Amino acid sequence: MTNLDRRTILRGAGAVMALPLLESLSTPARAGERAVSAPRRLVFVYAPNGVNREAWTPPAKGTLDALPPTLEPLAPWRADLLVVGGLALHTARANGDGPGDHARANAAFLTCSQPRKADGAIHVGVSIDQLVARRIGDRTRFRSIQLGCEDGAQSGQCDSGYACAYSSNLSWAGPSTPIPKEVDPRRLFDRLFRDGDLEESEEQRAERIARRRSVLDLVREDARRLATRLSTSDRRKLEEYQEAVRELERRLDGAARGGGDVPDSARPAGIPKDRGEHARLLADVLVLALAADATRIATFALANEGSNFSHRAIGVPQGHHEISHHGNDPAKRAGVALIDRFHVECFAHLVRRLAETEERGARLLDSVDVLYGSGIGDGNRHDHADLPVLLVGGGLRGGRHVDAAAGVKETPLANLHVTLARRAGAGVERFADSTGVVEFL
Amino acid sequence: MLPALVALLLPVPAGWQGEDPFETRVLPVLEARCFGCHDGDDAESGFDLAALSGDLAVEAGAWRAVRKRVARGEMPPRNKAPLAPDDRAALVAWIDAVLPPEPAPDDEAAGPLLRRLNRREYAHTIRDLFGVAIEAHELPADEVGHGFDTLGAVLSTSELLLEAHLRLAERVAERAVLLPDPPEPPRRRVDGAKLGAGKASGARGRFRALHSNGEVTLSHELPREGEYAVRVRVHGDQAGPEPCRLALLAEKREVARSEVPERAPEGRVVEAYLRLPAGKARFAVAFLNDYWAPNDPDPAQRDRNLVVEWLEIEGPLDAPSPSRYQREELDPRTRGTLRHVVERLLRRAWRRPVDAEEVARVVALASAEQGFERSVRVAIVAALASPEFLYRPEVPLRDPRGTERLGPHAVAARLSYFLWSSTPDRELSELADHDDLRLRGQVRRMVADARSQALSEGFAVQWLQLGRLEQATPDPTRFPEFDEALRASLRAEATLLFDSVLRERRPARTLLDPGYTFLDERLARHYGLAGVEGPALRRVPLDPGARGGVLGLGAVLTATSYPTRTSPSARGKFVLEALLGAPPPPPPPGVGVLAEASDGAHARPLRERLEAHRNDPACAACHAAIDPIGFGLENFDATGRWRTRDGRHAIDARGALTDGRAFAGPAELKALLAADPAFVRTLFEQLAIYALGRGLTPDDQAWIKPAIAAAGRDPTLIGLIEELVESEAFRAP
Repeated sequence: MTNLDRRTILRGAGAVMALPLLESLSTPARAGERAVSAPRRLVFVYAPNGVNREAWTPPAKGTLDALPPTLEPLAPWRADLLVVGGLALHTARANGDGPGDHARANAAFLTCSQPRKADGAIHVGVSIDQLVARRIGDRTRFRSIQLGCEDGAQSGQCDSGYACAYSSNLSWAGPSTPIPKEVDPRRLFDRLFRDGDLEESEEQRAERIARRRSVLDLVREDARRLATRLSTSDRRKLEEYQEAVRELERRLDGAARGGGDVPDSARPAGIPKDRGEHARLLADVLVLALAADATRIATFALANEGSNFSHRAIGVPQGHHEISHHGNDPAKRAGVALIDRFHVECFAHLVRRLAETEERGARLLDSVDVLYGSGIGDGNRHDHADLPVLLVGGGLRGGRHVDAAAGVKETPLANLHVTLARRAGAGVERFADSTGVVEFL
Repeated sequence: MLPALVALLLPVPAGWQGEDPFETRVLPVLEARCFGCHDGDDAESGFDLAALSGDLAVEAGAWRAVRKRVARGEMPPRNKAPLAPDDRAALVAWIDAVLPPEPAPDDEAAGPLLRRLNRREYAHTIRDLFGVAIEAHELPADEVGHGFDTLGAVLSTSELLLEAHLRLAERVAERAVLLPDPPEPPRRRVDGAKLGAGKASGARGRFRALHSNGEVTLSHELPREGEYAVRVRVHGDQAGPEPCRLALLAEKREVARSEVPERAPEGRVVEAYLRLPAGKARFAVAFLNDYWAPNDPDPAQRDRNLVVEWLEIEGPLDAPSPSRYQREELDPRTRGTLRHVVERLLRRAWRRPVDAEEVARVVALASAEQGFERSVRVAIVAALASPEFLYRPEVPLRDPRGTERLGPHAVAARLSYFLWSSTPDRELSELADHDDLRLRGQVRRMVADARSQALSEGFAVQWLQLGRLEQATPDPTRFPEFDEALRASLRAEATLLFDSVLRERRPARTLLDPGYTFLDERLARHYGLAGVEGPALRRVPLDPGARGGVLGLGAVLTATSYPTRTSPSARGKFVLEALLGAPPPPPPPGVGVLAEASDGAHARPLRERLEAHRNDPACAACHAAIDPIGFGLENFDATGRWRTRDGRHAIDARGALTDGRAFAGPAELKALLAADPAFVRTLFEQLAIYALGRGLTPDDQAWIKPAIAAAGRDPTLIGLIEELVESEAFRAP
């Protein structure tokens, strides 16, 4: 196992692409803001199907000494690491809607709202990243970005009658509007840094932007006229389009800044076959985006909830979901722990990149609150209490294993979301089923 | 909670006056046969039947579950005696009488919401409008509802999506309309230092020096098939008896070879012109004659290196051929004014007549550009980015009797997106203009058209849940022969089967046992069939028996398996869901999954291990209905190969349907399904969901039943489609 891990890590290190000199890319400070301090950023990373708690949970609360096997890849950043126990996701429970814990766990993770089996339709709630993006997202070119290793599922109902959208989307702009994620590192890069176009001169670029602007003007008017012919519910559907137009206009207007010229040497080739490589490339582009201040908010799904991906590259040929129902078979439990550890390794790569990148003499990591977790606790039992949650970075006082539910039965995950949203500069009072803020930060 | 309380709270259905049927008929059955397990805090599966409060508004779902389980014979479980038939009938009749009708989901879910084109439809539409090919995966993946990608309720629009659409529209416009003064061909020059290289090279300023025989490489995305020039400028560190030599390679093929006698600052350009296909191409410069004499007394004669200054790719150099749109619509002799061109464009793209003001607004935008072609390009972008194109607005018209119906253009679009996943063609549009659609005849014409392949690719693939085939990852140690080529053949076999039954007007039940299939050599070998040679799929007659039909498709059998083994449960569930329209309820939380011996040499056959699983009462009720169907397909392994043994256990392919009808092996299972009216009904309902873009409610049975009946005793697939299209629902908003 040790050999395998070392090999995986080394392969990751070898595949690292050349990071450009990010600091030189940061755009000049806008009056009064950046001169004072680095911007605050917020990143959510999701791993599906819960964990094997035995290999995940540190032996004692308090100071983090030796890390349990699953968390070992984070050892170099132990001083930055906060292992959080005792958080619960109540809205991922059935609450009268029957089975479907995977779909609910994913859809509720950032929304903390109850997803409903609305017979082919979807209805949950706004996610915390989108709430923050509404408040502070206009300071960057992209209010937020969404990335992940697996596309929206393309077959059938994904979990016990829940629409597939629930299992594959963490970010929700509205109750029925999931935001799809980008799975191709190259396309993500192009969208962030190249405006999708290859060789074009400044002049051509300016022309193209002006043309897009006037096309958007026209279609905004098309939408307004169309809305007058539609029923109420269809008008609501069209609002998604109108919102998208407004957001594109905002970006084209150049009101937002940041993220201009990231060199092509950092442009990834596409989707690699190896899952670890795929996750690392996405993390690399995410770090570029944060460093260039193209966005400050991101969600990153290492896989869709309920994913049955076969991790044979790390010696676990069974599907992830299949093996997560291990029925206490020791060999399967060990396989689950290996997959958990693999996901933590992918996460550790992101942390490493954030720590290696400098911003104004400090680590980029110190400006980013990174939350890692799953909406399911124990994958075998589908529980939603004592979720596996890690916090790294953001200047948090790490090196600790805390119990968010000390003295109470359980603490809503939403309390942590509220706290993180406030740290990111969005004055959120309450969110979904929150009952307050968390004190342990 | 006491059963008596239930009795008190539950209303007495109308028509049962005189006695309380619950007291006299239902409660005794519940007491005798149900409360034994379903009572109290330790009730079976957490389902405490005795504790139901009687608030039907809240508990309708629970009673419906009772009705379903009892009616299907799943409760009491198999290890208990079944209910007496008249007890069962009484219980079901009572629940039917007291329950309110199943509520329609809330408004938003019920009606067909404004439907956005999904990415399949977008790609087909662009092809048909302009003769320009794009790949669906250039757009973000669409969400799926009820198993299909045509559901208005889940096709949402985000900034990411609209941005992708805008960019794609620009590219479509560029390909659809060539400029009269073509710009210089694109040229990409990359400095040597930035080229890909192995260990035996190093950057030398902007250049790259190769210290020993080896390559520097450049990957470049070629936008289309065409002529390209590849050029490299080089010089050498000269030493030894001969000058540097290099080879220029494209896709590992040598395309030029040259000596390089120059020394810095002189250099030489080596170039080659070649024809290359679209897509990613790899170019390389190879240093062929390294020379290293460290002991040579003259330091300048010790080391020969090749220095690559830059590598460039130019092209495509040949003129692209104009699109069908440009040939047909923009011929300077016939095209008319910009306003005419825009009017025709909007009419086609927006699938309806357009008014003068709509045309004028686009013309105003387009005429700001210099030159006719550039103007048309902008008009195309504006037409394609508009919600009038990206959505299919179905604005109902009120007819004289006050009922709402769709207008002919909306119906024409429904029909063409159903059968072609694309926009109406000229004929259909003109018939809509005259409000003279004659749908049945159009179905025949459109199914005969090659575009109807979209129905196999769109409907059949999703109906058969073959998205799971794309995601399937059979374990390479157990199934080493499974690869991407085989996956593609499996998929093609499935779509060709559907296509043949559709176009050859075969009965729908032939989908289960057609007596033929489509094979290439590879797939025939996989199935263990001889006499098929070469890579082309062709129709191969089959003896009656196991292979053939949807349940003999390797695609379906692989999609319903785990990476390491078959799943009789997944196969049983597939049959119940996709073929019989009776989806089993999902597993309760907290249940285990089957234990599997890790070495592959199982102590007990899979059937026995599954049966052990069913001893767990939490699993038993459903799996007793699901697994026996899947057992009938155990002769097919996890990639669809025929087998008579699983490891060291002989296959036992006896099984039974939910209602107890027994069978042995796939051939008998297929015969039972083909004779079951539930198969045709399910197929029809699936077609309806796909075509209407919404889920079905119990009310829909009012038109579904007569429509199926109208298709005849042994309806053909195309006959079912004709009746669906002729139905009221197809014209209703």
